[in-house]
Amino acid sequence: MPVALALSLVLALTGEVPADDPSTTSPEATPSTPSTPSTPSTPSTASTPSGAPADPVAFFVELPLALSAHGTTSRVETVLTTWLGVRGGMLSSSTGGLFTGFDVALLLGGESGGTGAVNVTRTPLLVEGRGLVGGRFRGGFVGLGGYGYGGLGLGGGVTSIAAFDDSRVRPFATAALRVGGGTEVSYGPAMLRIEMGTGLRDLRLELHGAASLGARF
Amino acid sequence: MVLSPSRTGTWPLAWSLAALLLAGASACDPLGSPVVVEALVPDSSARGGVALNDVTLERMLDLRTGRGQDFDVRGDFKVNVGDFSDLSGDFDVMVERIRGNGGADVDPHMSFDGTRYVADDYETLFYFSVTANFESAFAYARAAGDTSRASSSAENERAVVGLFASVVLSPLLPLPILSSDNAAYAAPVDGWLALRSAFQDGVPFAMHRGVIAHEFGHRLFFHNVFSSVDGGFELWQQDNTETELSPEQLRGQMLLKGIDEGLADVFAMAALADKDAINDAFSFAGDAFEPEAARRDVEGAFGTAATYDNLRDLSLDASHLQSCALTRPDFDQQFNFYCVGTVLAAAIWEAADRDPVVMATEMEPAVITALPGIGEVLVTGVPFDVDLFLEPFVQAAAPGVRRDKLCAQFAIRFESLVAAGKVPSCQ
Repeated sequence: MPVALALSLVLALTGEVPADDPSTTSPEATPSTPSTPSTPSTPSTASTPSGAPADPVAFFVELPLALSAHGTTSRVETVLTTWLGVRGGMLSSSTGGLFTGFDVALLLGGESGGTGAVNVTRTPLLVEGRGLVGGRFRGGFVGLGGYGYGGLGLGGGVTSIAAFDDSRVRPFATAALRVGGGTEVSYGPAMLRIEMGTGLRDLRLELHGAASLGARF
Repeated sequence: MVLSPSRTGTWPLAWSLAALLLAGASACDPLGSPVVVEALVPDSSARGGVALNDVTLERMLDLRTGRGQDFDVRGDFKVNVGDFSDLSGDFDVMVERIRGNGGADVDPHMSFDGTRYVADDYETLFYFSVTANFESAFAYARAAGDTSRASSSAENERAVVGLFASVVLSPLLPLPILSSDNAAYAAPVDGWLALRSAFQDGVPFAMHRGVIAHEFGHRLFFHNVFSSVDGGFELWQQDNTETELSPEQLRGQMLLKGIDEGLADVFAMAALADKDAINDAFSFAGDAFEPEAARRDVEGAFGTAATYDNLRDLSLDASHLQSCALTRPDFDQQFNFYCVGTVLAAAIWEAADRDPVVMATEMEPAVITALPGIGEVLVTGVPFDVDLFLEPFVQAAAPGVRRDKLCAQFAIRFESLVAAGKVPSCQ
């Protein structure tokens, strides 16, 4: 997310605050916010433990780089699948810095084994939807949060088996159920999320982890 | 990679979805033979001598676990070298002790496409190919007349194949010490270690048709020479636990290992009816394996020039001697015993008129018949020299032209032994 990173660096250097950043804008300065004098802590202005008001609804996009691992035929080694993709979602804040939300990702994976002459390559494409629940603390530009997730992914891909000049390419379907937890560090709109979890992919136990760079808006 | 359009996209996604759903429901049912898999198997018309073809596995009890009638393919199979220092007990007791827990059932990642099971990943292709090639080796050995435990299907004599096996120094320190780019028969576990590939190119050795047949040949040698002969196993135990070897014992052991290797190559050539059964494995494996390819080629420069005598008296070309690590006369040292094996394999190949069919139908059956003769002499205390195999082998060969050709070859390749009258059948 180079744009988001660049933006956050500029903000850090200049100390300027975006006018539309609700975390630094008082309720009085945002008349559109549905707050009333008798309920100063409505969801729209829910204060975090640090005292900064949280976003009522936030959207985010990020680019995850993920690894998943599952056991192999020999029960000796581990097949690692590398995933790259794009994920977007929405988070709704509630009192106490808690939030719920969901996200949807499109992930392209790759795994291979063998030699240059004889090898098997598997390339899955997964659409994954997840529910999220967590908490987030903010102080000025900086935010720190933790969350749990659970989701379902469905997709397909191709398996290519090659032996010298001979090869076979076959499509396959794939499904994944995943649960896990993550932590999020944000600076202004830029955010870095680290996740680890477990689940079942194609009826096999797997472990997975991801690092994502993104932006919240 | 060249895609094959005729095969691409012929497998509807629906099959895949159905297979995924059915996999869970039927995963507990044994998947026994006959079962068709797509494996990397011999194909003389294809580059590298192998192709992805449909193979009907005839001897599987359950493809899902690796259990078979002749051998079990096992995952998480570890061999502790420290255990090899204690070879006591009778054969079965020793094997059971050293196999330990015997590893775990394999867990293949495969799909059924309506006709065949196909591998979903590399290890499963490896598993299918190893299984198909070992089944083929067992079938050939039986057809060639082996009645020893090597090709037995008795439940208590079943071999194991350790898939991606690990050889470790100790269970307390499970660091692999021999873990890649090879395959081996280990008599103490009466099984094969199919090791992963790491640095090689070409067909991973442990799934290579020729290497698997070669390794099967070692089991054939062990059981026919040692475990089938009264006192043979005890002799093997003694030889393999002896810490102080006399020069004569060392010489005998090195030559015996050489003959074991040569006859394993002969078995591979015969079982696959292909001169290059072994050589192909090294030819495509990369530069680091070229010297081995040269040493094992029965029609190559080394295979043509080397004899028992010019290796023994160091009169062979210096570069060949160097590749055999031979520096002292009369085999009075540790050396690359594969060199002696190639001399024997080349002699048999020439005596077979360079005909793979003769290798399969005449030479290997005679080898199998001759092997117990080695053990029968060794148990009398006679140190091994190559004539202990040559004589029973010539006796087992069909009288007439074939026997004459063998004797003619042995007179060249093992001149001093024949001239000294140590192969009476060639007098």
